[in-house]
Amino acid sequence: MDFRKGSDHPLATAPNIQLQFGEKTMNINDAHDAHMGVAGDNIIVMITQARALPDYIFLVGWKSGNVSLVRFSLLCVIHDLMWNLRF
Amino acid sequence: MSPHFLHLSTELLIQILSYGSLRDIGAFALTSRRLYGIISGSLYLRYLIRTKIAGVHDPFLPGLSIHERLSVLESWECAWRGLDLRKPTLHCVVPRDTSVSVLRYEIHGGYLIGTRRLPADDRPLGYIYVNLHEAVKRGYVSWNNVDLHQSLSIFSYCFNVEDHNLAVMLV
Repeated sequence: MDFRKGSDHPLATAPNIQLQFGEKTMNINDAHDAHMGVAGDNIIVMITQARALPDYIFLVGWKSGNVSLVRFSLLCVIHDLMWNLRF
Repeated sequence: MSPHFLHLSTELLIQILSYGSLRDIGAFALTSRRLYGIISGSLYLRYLIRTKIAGVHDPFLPGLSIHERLSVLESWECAWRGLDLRKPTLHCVVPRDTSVSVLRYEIHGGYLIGTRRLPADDRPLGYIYVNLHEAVKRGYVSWNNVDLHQSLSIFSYCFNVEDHNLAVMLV
């Protein structure tokens, strides 16, 4: 968003971007805490959930609209591994 | 036979010395007339010494020359010496009608920004801001208000005013 005018930013191709990874959409209301920072053409979004749930770091290209999940906690991997081994 | 340290070219010696700490550079300057001459005659090393003494890192853009960097550092030093917190340069009074439900104030790129994160008192979500540089020049504060047309609460705000004129909301 254009800071001074409050309108859509002229360089952003998509003014509203959803935090998605795979087919899942991140629901921010489930998060315990979230921090953001702008680094050049990217926004780094760090989302902390409750203790048993995974944390996420998204890299969002605010000009392009691209969303990348760049890290999630080990708990998530362990959970998925156990789930796969069980079946 | 390997060359003696002092037989290296001046450019190489400056490059090597630039990796040293303040104490290293000072010690080198005391070891020989040539090293003292190189250190005192090198604008680059003098600049590094000044930044190390001041305890700051170099935040300037690469395009600035060392001479320009030095003059900026000197003006910063003068500004810090002249800073008197007992004498406020600007009274930043927040208007009552726009301050309703403002939960947090922060400074980005010379702007004081107040963000509204939750809807309250029929006031929409959004933020208010003031350009502090202009306010100091004018001698008075002029607040700007940005209302957002969203019924959801805003989880987090993020701003990058100086580079991209960008405001980001996580909803």
